[in-house]
Amino acid sequence: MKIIFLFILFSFTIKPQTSNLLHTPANTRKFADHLFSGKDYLRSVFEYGKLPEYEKNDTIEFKIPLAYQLMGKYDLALEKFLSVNKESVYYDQSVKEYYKTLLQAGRYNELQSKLANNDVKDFQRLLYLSYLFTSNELPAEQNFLEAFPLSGKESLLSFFSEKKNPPYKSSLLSGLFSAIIPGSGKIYLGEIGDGITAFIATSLFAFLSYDNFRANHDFRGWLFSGLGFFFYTGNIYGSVAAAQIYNAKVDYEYKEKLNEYLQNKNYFVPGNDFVK
Amino acid sequence: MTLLNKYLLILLLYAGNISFSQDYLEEQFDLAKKLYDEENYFDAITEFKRLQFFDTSNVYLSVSDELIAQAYKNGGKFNEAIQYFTLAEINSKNSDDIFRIKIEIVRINILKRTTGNALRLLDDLIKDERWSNKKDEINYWCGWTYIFADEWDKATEEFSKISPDHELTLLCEKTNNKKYSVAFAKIASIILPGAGQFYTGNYINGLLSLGWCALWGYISVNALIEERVFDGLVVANFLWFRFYRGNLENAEKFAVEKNLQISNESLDYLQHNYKGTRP
Repeated sequence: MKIIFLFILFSFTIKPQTSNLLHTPANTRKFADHLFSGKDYLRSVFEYGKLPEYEKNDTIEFKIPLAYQLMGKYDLALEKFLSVNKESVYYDQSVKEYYKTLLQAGRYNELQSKLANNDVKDFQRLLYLSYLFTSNELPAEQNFLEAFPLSGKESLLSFFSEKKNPPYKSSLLSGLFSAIIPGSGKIYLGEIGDGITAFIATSLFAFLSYDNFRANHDFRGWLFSGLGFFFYTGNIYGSVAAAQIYNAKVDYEYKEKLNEYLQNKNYFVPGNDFVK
Repeated sequence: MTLLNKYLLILLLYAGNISFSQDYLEEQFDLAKKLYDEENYFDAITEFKRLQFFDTSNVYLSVSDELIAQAYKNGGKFNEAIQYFTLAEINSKNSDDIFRIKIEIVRINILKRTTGNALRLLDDLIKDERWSNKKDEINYWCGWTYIFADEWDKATEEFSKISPDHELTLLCEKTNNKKYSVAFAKIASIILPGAGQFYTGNYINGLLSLGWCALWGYISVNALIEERVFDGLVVANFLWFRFYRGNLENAEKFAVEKNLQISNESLDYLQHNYKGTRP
């Protein structure tokens, strides 16, 4: 009976400690891992942050910046990747992820200056990829392609060629064409409907102006001349602007396609087992 | 120790263990609920997720799914809210809970203005025999769906199924009656340019439309009378017709804008003055 009594007493004494049971460091770590694998990165970072120093390990130190990176919080990710301990088993991987984050954050010049003299293949790949985003001189084609595995060569060659010779249209030529034949600048840019409309509108106003002057309706003649001139100059300006818009679209689509491709390929950086 | 005492000891150990695990889960639920009640939704979701993670026997699964969904909804994260309401529905034990959760999903679809989804879900509820005694509630949310879809006439119809004197029936009817007819505005402008604008109270725009159409109409007719046929046709086509067509579009635009203003006034009233349940 004494034992029973002691047990009951013991069970009563243990009750007040229950509220913190799920919040013990070990359980917090398990819960944070669960959130991380469920892609709830923000909450997982908060949970990892609650852990006392003795509970933290190399994996957690690496997962925190990785979570920031996966959330697109690149500045925080860079800061945390830099603070990964050199003794950590993930140190090499965190350096790679650091440079990958620089690339994702669009800090190309910083990446290029930091990796300029680095001969390690993984870093060279990131360096070469950064050149596909900037206006800096591209590396030699052969050197560029050699850095990448066979599976990526064909697509990367296509991006490399597009970067080297982008399919831009000249805004000067476009404006000039429209000055000679109204609407032809737009046709040069592939906007055939707009080009034909501009041609017809300008021609019609020119004709209406001529016809009214001929019929001695001077006011209407000047009115249509003014409208015709407005259309004519507007079309020249529109053709120059359309060429610039066309080129911006070329740049935008190229970057979109490249970013999508690189994300699918994880920027040619080896993946991490716990990010799936 | 006798055999009986040994069994008693084991029983107590077991009971102690169960009550202990129930206690900490209950305390965790209370903590999460407290955060939820304090409108600290981010932390509430975290704590409910923690509860779910450690609640291996899934005692709190359904209720926590529902509260997570509500927290997401209150935080404006509608897609996540629907995801958790769906989980709560799957784990629900009785038909009343299922009905309540289905209505919650409808309410989110109303807020998201995914009218098609809301109506489809409500249609499923109407067809389901289990909820034949809840027709009024289903009609109520059908009405709200139509309010958010800016179809006040259909909303009136749905609320009148509950009661012709229902506050929302009267409000929807009043709103619908106040609205301008877009078709009438256009037809009026077809007959007399600018008339549609006058109908919606935009007098200066109406006069401008009338003026432009009269000017280019005159120039066009004048050219035709003077046998400058091409001149006349081109002016009629590119200038008179352009302004005539613009006048029609303008009349339609003004009627739509005015109707939007009327709808917004009613929605504003519902948001601030209506005491009943809202999406």
